[in-house]
Amino acid sequence: MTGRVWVWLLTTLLSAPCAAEPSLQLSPSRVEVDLFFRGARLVATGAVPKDCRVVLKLDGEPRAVAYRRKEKRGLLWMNTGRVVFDSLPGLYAIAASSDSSDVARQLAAIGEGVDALRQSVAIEQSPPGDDGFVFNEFLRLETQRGFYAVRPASIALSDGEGAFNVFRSEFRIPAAVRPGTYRATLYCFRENHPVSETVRTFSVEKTGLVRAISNVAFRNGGLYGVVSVVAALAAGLVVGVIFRKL
Amino acid sequence: MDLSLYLPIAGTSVNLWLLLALGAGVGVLSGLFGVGGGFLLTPLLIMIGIPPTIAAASDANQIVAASASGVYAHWRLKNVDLRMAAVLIVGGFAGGTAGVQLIKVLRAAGSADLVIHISYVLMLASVGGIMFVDGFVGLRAGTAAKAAGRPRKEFRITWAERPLALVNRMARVASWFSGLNRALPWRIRFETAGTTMSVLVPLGLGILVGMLAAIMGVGGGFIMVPTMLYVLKMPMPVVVGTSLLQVMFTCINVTLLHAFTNHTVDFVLALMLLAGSTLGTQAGVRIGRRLGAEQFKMFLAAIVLLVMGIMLVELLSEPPVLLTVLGGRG
Repeated sequence: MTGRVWVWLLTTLLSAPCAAEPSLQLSPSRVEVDLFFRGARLVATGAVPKDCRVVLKLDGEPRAVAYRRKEKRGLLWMNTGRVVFDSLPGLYAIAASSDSSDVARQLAAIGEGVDALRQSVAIEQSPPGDDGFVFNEFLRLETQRGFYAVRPASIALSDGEGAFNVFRSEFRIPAAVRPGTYRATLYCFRENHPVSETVRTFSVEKTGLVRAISNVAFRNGGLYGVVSVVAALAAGLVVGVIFRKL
Repeated sequence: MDLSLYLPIAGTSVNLWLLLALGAGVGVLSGLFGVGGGFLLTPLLIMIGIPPTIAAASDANQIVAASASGVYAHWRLKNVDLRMAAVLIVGGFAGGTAGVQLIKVLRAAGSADLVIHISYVLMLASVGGIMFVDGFVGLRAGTAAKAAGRPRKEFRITWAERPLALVNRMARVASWFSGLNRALPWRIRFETAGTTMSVLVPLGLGILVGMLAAIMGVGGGFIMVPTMLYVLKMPMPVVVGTSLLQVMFTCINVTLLHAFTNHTVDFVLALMLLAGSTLGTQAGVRIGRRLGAEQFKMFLAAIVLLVMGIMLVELLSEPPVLLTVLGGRG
């Protein structure tokens, strides 16, 4: 678990871009979660040398995640066990300029993609079960929730200045995203061999009232509970009194 | 207008109008029947993507408001038996504590989920079924007696013999119960409820309901109401008013516990729900005054059976994905 976090941090810090290298910009670089937050659109723009294909990856810091597993017992479907994946990114979205067969080769070359995740993750099931099956179910669930996506041939490269092509790619960040630091990595390929890696980070942060409420709820649960109950009682009585007059 | 709100504790965004409508619907049930409506609302909230623990805790917070609104209205109509409510509340707290311990033991044995689901379905099926048959028989008896100008007793239902037998059996259990009641010490007069019984009876029922409620993770109003109606033989309006008071206290306790120990109360979610439910409750109280007791029973029975049907379908059909989110670790 901590091993992967270190690798994540190191690759984040060490891959600083050089001059005349591919460029990558994110907009916004800070996603604010306020009371009207309903997910965000992240736009990645950049330029790459003309003879390059690109893979753009968004991912969050890997962490342990737990799920309930359902199974059929007799006639009934019910939760029968617990599945813990020791280290998986909460968000994992890949967009690429090549078609799917090339993207598969490119991802294999850099050790990314869902197959690579499957290879590296340790799955702990109680009671024991089929790891391949639960990983596929995990992928289906997270794809459905909008946190996992692999989209080949979704980045269009168009003529830019000089020896560069430019691109623009949009990612949808679901409303249920966890606050934290995320990164976008731009990989350039020549004939499916990686030639460069450019990293930018962006953050998702609770702000304003959302932040204030979560702070009180987690730091001072007792006070938060009393305020919630008193407010509810007051609301109920006020409505009752108003209705008496009607 | 498409307006969404981000729920700070649930950590996701939900349509505002949907929340208000859900709250209003459950509020009407609350004012009508004296149930908190947690047995209905919590599954609905989970369905729209609220994590289960947060759905249950925030729902309890919302019920505090709806039941306070209802208690106030029923209080003015003199439908609250304070003494009865106090005994039920004491029993409910004791039973709830015992139920939480029982769940811990079951969790350790790995069979909590099965026990919860099956007890839920069985409970809903029997409560709903009995109320439905009783309301149906009463309704038929009432209309037929009116038509023939004969007293109610002589009316016979030929094609509904079997459900009638069930009601008879219930009546026998109830009479066995009243025999037991006469034999028990510490008899008390419950003025508003219009009955005299041993204090042990409502206390025992409170414990039982509290236990079931804790096991199933709901307030227990939908078990308490039929119990007061059929076993304690209290008049319908007093059942509703008294039940609401008990529901209110239970949910205050649950909200405080969840806020303090689990941090699962989403106040924004509760606020949106209660905006709808406090108004719905007032409407429910007014509808209840115009509705006859038999129609009323049929209506509640239909809702309880509907929820049971949904749960049963859920248990019997294959879910689209065989994993559900439990949350992060570490």
